[in-house]
Amino acid sequence: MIEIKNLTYTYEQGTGYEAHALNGVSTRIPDGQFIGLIGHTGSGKSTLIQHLNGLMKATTGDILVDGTSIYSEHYDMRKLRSTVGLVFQYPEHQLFETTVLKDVMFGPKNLGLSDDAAKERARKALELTGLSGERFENASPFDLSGGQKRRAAIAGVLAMEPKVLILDEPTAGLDPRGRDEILSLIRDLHERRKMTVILVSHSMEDVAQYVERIIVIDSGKIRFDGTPREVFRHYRELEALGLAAPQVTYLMHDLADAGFTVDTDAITVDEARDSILKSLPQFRRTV
Amino acid sequence: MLKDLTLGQYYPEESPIHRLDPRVKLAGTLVFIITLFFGQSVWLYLGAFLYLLIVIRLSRVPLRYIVRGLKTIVVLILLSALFNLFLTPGDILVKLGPLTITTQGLVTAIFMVVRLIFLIMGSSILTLTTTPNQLTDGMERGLSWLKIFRVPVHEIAMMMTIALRFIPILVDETDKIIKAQKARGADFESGNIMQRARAMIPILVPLFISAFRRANDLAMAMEARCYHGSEGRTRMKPLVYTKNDRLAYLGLALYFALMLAIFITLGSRVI
Repeated sequence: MIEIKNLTYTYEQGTGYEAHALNGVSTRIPDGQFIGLIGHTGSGKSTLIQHLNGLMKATTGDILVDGTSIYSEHYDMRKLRSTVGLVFQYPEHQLFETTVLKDVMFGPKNLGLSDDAAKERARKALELTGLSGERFENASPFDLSGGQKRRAAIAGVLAMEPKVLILDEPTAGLDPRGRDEILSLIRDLHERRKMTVILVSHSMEDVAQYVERIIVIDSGKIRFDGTPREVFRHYRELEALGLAAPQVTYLMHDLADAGFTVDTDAITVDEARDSILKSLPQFRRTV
Repeated sequence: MLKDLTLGQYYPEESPIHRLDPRVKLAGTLVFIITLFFGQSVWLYLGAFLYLLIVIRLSRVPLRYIVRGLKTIVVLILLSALFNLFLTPGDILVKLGPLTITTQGLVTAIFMVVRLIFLIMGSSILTLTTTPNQLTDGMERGLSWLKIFRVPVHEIAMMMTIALRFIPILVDETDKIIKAQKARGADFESGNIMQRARAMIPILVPLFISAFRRANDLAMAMEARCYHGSEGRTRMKPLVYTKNDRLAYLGLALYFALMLAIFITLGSRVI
């Protein structure tokens, strides 16, 4: 479990340009939860996740991972980075090795594992991401397609076998098929491997059908925190923050306003369809 | 962490020096550097000091900002001072074991330090008051006569503009890559020189790839807008000399004449 306590991060402290990227963020992330972290560009979401694996150090506040403060003396940062795996935006830009397998082995080897152990973990991670087999292992990472490169880069983090996986906009710049592949891979990791997953995105549509909890961050503060249904009920406030609820939320609210009894809490297209079908007799009468 | 590289970065301000034509400022810097090498005379350096003082005052750049740029070359200054101090032959002043300090050495060392400091301050005034774009514009115009000798002045200037434009982008990129590799457990802080050098590979390879990718994108974007080099190219803000620029040239000529006069009358005398 990760506990974030009153975290504040200030840029350019002590100068005239002082700015709070994070301003008193407190929350708990229990093991095994699938969380969507939503905010627009510059809201502080990327800053927040970089704190969670110790890449950035908070100005004030504390982070407890499994009960121990990561700011305590002699805290093993390397262990933290293997516990909390962070996949950056466009992770394929960090590939550098001559073969996919070697690149994925980079993380485990940094943890001090032997070549054989690292290779075993790398193979496992590549299998999870659907890149197993001789063909991929020995290919240059630069010869892969865009979606494959990204999966190889994600494998590079998975090979460290983190308990918590954080992904920053993992679907940015991918075509619809690549996007679905990545998102279902992530769902799989959460459901089968029981990983805690934090999915950072600015698209409600993407996360709505996958996550069980949404945290909305704006100007370095948590604005909403709850199940997708609860959060999307505030769709008008979300709009004021420059975010939008899924399209179906608007449709259902419009239908409800027009006098139809539909479930305004529907967040996916499937749920909306079911709800509309159920009240279909009502529609027929009106038409 | 790489953002601290601020040696001579543009300091926005509305001062007479900022408004000068970049060609004037380039000429001024060149003249200043030439005069610094006229010789070792207290009067010459006093002249240079006054010139520098007036320009800094006019530029309204805080002195502290300029001095900060000196920090990066402190080691260089100290080294050259020490070498000059101990290795110049001449009349022995002090003897410290195997080391001797000569009068000539002491004088040369002092002048060397002052000259280096003036040199850095003088040239950082140029970059502090001129945006990179103005600077390359000025160079392109100021050196356009080289075109007679088939020197591709415009192309060189464009390359400089692009190179300068890319520095902050690549610094950002490097920062990102370092973080991404750190997230994979990479360690850049410990180990001996060889280990540290090897630890750079996971940064350098992605950085090179990204630089090439960006260069490719930029070339495409330029070609899509029909860029074809200098021929027949007009400018949005053509450089035109104003009254102030002419005045500055006059002042510069006066300074140069004065320094030349001191140099000729004093010869190689120190005082």
